[in-house]
Amino acid sequence: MNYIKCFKLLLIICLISFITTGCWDLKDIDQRSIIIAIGIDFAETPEGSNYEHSELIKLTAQIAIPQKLGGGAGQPPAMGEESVWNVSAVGLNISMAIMQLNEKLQYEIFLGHVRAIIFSEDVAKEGILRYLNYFRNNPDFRRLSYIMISEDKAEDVLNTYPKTAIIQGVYLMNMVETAVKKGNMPDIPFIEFVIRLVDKGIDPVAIMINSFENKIKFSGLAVFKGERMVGKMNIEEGWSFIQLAEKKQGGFEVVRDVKDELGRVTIFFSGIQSNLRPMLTEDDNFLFKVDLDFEGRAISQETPTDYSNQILFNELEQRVSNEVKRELEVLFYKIQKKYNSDIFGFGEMVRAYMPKEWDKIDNWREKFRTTKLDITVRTKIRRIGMTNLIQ
Amino acid sequence: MKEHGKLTERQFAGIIANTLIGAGNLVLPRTLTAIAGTGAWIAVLIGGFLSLVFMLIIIRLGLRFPEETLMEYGTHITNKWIGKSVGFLFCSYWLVLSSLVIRVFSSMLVSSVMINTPIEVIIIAMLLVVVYFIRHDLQVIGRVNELYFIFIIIPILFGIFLSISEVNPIRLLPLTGGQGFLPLLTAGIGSFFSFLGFEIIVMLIPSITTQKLTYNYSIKGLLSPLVVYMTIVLLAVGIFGVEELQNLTWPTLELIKVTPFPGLILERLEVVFISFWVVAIFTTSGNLLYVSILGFSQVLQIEEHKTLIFPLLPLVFFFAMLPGSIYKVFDMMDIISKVGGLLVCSIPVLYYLISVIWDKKGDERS
Repeated sequence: MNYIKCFKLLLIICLISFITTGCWDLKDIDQRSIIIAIGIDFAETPEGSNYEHSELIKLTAQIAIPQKLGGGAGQPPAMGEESVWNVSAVGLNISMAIMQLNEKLQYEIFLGHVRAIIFSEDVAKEGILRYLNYFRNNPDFRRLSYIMISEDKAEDVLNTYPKTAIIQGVYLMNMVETAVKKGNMPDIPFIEFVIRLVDKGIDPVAIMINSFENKIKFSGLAVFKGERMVGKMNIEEGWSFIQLAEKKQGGFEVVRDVKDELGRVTIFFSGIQSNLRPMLTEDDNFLFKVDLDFEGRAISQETPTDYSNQILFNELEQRVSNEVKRELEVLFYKIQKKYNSDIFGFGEMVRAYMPKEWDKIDNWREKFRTTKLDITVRTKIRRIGMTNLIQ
Repeated sequence: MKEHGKLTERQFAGIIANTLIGAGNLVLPRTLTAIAGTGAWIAVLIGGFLSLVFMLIIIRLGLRFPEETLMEYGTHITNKWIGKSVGFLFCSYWLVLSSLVIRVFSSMLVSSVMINTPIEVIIIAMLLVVVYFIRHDLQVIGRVNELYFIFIIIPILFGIFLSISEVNPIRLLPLTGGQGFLPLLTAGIGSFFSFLGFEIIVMLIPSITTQKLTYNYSIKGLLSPLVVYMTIVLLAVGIFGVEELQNLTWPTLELIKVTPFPGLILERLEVVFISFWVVAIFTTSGNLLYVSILGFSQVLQIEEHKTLIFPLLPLVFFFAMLPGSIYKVFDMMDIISKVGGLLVCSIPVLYYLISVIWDKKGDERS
């Protein structure tokens, strides 16, 4: 009797070990091809093929080499070119390209560590929604990785190895994160980009990068209209955009000295308070009242002007405000007239604060064309520095 | 009369809370915002209020018969056949709901974490745990629920805390949805269906030690799921916006996916989230299956409810595997919760009216 009981127990334990181990999806970490960054270009169509120019894409994947990372005792870790491997594959869409990529690799690819997806400018101009879908459906893919647009080929960016880059893709991400933290790049990870793409009252922007020799450089922001890239902003315009739409301080402002027109004063913005309210004007157009309060400090002054004088000081603050206001207006009307794309999210403001009006609008972009802006800028300079020493 | 187990008031509240926090809020943000837009959180409030009303009716009815469950007083209020068939309906509904809860969760697991695992394996594994759980009597069920409540609520609070920084306030506006009251009401009734599960108290009221406190603790039990539902809906709308939510099959899971963990220690928070969610699903489906089997045993007048577990188990598995695609799962969930909603809204009210009009009352507690 006792034997039978023992046997039964043993049987149950054996059976349980089959179902509770959870090894079905087991895959060792060194048995995956870990992708750090992805670049997407148009492939060159081969001679005599039936494909159109924009049909074939070339996907470049940056694969980490785990064995090279970390280094041993007393050994410096492998850097740049040695720690990653760029592999390209061509396909009609992302899934086909990734299938082709898998053919070239020892292990199955793993998207859980992708830090950046880089599209080349000409891909972005044709529209990128169809490429994003694959990543959205992939459960491993990190929603917080960044979308970037490269001015030249995305492949070239991935093949650029800055001297301090241990893993090139992570270097890219760190670059963006540093800029976001400083407040001079908008924080738009993958999921935020997709949300802005889907929402009717806002159009997405993406960070643009460029590469030379062994350097990677931000070259501004790409303006999207829906899924298509329609234009770009340079770095300074990007700051204005951030000040207007993202409620971040952007970069700095250089103005002429109040007394001496040849010298310049540079004001670094350290904080911003922004208040944005939509209103309806009499002729049924939208007017946005923007109140911006900047806080800043002078970081350089090229003249001996004494700003302890209150009148001069106030005039300097006024100059900064006027200059910022002018730049904001120039940017806004450029985006509005030239691209007609609401990257500022004013439509979202209307949806949020004036839901009744929003319901009446069928096409926000049409309405956006006639939208006006009323900007008030105030600047408070906290510190001016020791200027008299120059005399 | 059969001796019912003992259940303290806190365990009672825990059972209500754990039964409600389950599969419903995995998809709740999407289904509600589809109708009510940004006003979805009001819809949750309406749904919570509706379920509170019906819960109080059930308790009032139950306290007229302090020693009996629905299956038992049903036969006293009406006649034997009607009472038994109504009890049978309730039990079948709980059975199907319980299997669908497991199915919904397994679908999420298979589509997002364990991609290569066959769904049958996950369902069977969960069913076995549930069976082990419900073989015990009510006292154990109560204790487990009281204990596991902490394991469910703390990770949820933690997740809410982490993701709150990702909220973009502009996406929450206009707070009322801006489309008038009608969509809010429709969505409110929709969210009432995701509160279903509280009706299992028809089986529990006779077992509570201090019945005076039933009202108090039932409200407490309903409150925590209400708060959880509302915060999840608010967070989901605040992070994704209404438009993007329509594209997400598992909004709550996506919510965790976009939540950054400080210092990149844990890059994929959803794995942790899912392992805690297993507990929530386990209690939900366990409680539902327990009352279902207890009910069946009372309808069929079987002394031990354990006897029925193994005969009914294939049926649970069958219902869990019945819908083919994920859309079919949602459709079936929709139908079954409508059936449940109908039962919950009509039967207790009818019973109560009949018992008041014909002045029927159960025996006082000794």
